[in-house]
Amino acid sequence: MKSTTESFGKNARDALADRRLQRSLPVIHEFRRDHERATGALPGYAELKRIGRQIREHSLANVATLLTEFEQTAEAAGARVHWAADAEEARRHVLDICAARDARRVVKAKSMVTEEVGLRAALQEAGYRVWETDIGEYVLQLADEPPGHVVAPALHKGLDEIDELFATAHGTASEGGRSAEQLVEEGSGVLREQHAAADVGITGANFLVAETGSVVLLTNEGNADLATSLPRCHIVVATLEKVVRGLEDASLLWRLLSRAAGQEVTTFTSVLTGPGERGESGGPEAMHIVLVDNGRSDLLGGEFHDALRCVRCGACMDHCPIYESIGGQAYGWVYPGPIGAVVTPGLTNLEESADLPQASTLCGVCEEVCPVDIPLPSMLQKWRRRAVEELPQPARSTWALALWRYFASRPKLYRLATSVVARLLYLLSFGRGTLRRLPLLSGWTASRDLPAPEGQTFQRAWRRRG
Amino acid sequence: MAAARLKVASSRDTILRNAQARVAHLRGQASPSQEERRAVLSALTSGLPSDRTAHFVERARASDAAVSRLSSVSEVPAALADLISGAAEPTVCVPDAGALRDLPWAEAGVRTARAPSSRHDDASAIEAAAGVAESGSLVISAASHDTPQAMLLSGQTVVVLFESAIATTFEDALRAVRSRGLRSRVVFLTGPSRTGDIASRLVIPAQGPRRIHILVVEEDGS
Ligand code: SF4
Repeated sequence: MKSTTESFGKNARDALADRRLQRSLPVIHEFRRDHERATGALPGYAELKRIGRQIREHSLANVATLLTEFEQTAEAAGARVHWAADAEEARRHVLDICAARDARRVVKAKSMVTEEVGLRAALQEAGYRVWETDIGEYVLQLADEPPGHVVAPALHKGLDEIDELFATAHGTASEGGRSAEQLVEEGSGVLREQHAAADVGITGANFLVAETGSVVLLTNEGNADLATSLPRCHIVVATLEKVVRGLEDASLLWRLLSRAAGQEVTTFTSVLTGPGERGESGGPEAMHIVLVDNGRSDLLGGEFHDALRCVRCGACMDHCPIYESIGGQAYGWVYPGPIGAVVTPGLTNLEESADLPQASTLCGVCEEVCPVDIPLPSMLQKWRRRAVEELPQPARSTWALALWRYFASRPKLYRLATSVVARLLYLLSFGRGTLRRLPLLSGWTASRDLPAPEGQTFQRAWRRRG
Repeated sequence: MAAARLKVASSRDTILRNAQARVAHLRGQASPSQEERRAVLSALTSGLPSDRTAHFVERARASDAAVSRLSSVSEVPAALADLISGAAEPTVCVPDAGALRDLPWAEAGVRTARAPSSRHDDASAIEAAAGVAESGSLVISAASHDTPQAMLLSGQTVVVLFESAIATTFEDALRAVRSRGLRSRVVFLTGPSRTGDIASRLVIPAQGPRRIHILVVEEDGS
């Protein structure tokens, strides 16, 4: 997927000015309530979190052994495993499989890694007809937009926009005002036909189970199960870190994942082991599993290792004040919110995405709600530090820091300068206690007042206090 | 082709070698012990009432499935006939060979078929391998695609669940299902399909199943 992380500042400003987006975003308050309800209602949630974290830690520490075992068990169950070091290789595997099957039509369920490797575009360029089948992703395909959330990809799209998109794509004469139920009914009908006609169904995976070679998928709409039950060939695209040891690890994690995502349990938890048997009415005869690295193995064991524990529940973004203000697309790549700001520099490059770790107030709520305890704020700080150490800094901040160092290392001068500035700012505020405008600080004062000092420095006030 | 093979092999090895080397210092990391797992599961189920069936029924209803209780499996065709009554020439898809297919459907005036139909009025009848009381989930376990297709495509999905197959947790249900050999498709299904993707409104059904009716049968099915 093409990244626009480099223009994060502009993306964020555009997002703030986007009226439709701003109308949609408050819905994440409902997501927060759902999270609260689903996790708070479960006795033992704290214990579940602890054991879930331990399972993910164990899986990562043994990832190579577990993947080797998974390859054997999945192949013994009749699937074929392919390894992809990078996005290009992942795309090539899928294109080769489709070509070998002489496929024409492909249905694809929601999967973040397929976004990451740009799979749909590659298939379309090669001449395949591709349908995204998750209703949210389908809306985004029609709108030609990337997802804005890991669980609810089209949360920024309003009813009227979707009505328009469907009316144009399906040739329905809508005068607007259709309900969500009517739109789901229409979209499902179209997608069901595509499922029936497809040669290949592509899905992601929530977990890969080493012990049994199973792929576990957590979904709600039924489209992923249609994609794995109707076309003749099922391709799973999954990243390395999804592997866990046994089915009993997966079951503890799927509880945790759905609860953290705000649901007691997803409608479908599908454990797929091998391609299955074609029955009276067809279905897959082949199952291919493409294991994608694309930068993950380089993150293992290092400063950002813990981020690979992520189960993609979306809770960190639902609770993030920055995400709440700008939505997911402004982040400019596949993964938005706090986890996106942590993994994007690691999976792409820091130079282009250095602004993402800055997009945080470090309030710490993301870490609190994360079901696998990923220390997101401290990881954001690590990226900030690396950015200062490794990247050229803007002249203004280098200059400001040099000036500050000059004064800070001369205590007398520092005291004198701060008392002059404090006095000056006090006078400029005309006793109102706030400043409306200030040269060099227009970025701050354009949208809020700056609290003014009370006329003397803190040090002097402290001394006076005796 | 030979070059491509070589690249494939080398990607696998490079990935595994890199991963292995980078986590070498973390090897001591222990997986949770059986006692720890048991402790968590007992904490998770500590609030559940002792009547497993009643709890299953309550959770299943909360997931928007309809539930009826029957005393014997022989009542299934008549119960289904009731569910589809009013429809014009409805058929019931019975995908699994076995107990359900052998029921006296014709006597109850129900026409059966093997392949699913997605007409609104039609139904499918499937036997659940297990139920999960903690979540109200049905466990559909199948080797062939006929069963998942019938489950997904029918206008109404009717699932027969023997009371004796209701387990407390996902783990208990998994154990029961695996004791008969892990089938290719094991689906924990909780209520009809749903989506929140259109303007964040919860819509039921989404793409399938559209409606779920569970027939909990008291008599032991084994
Ligand atoms: S970082 Fe934690 S909270 Fe965020 S998506 Fe991943 S698992 Fe969920």
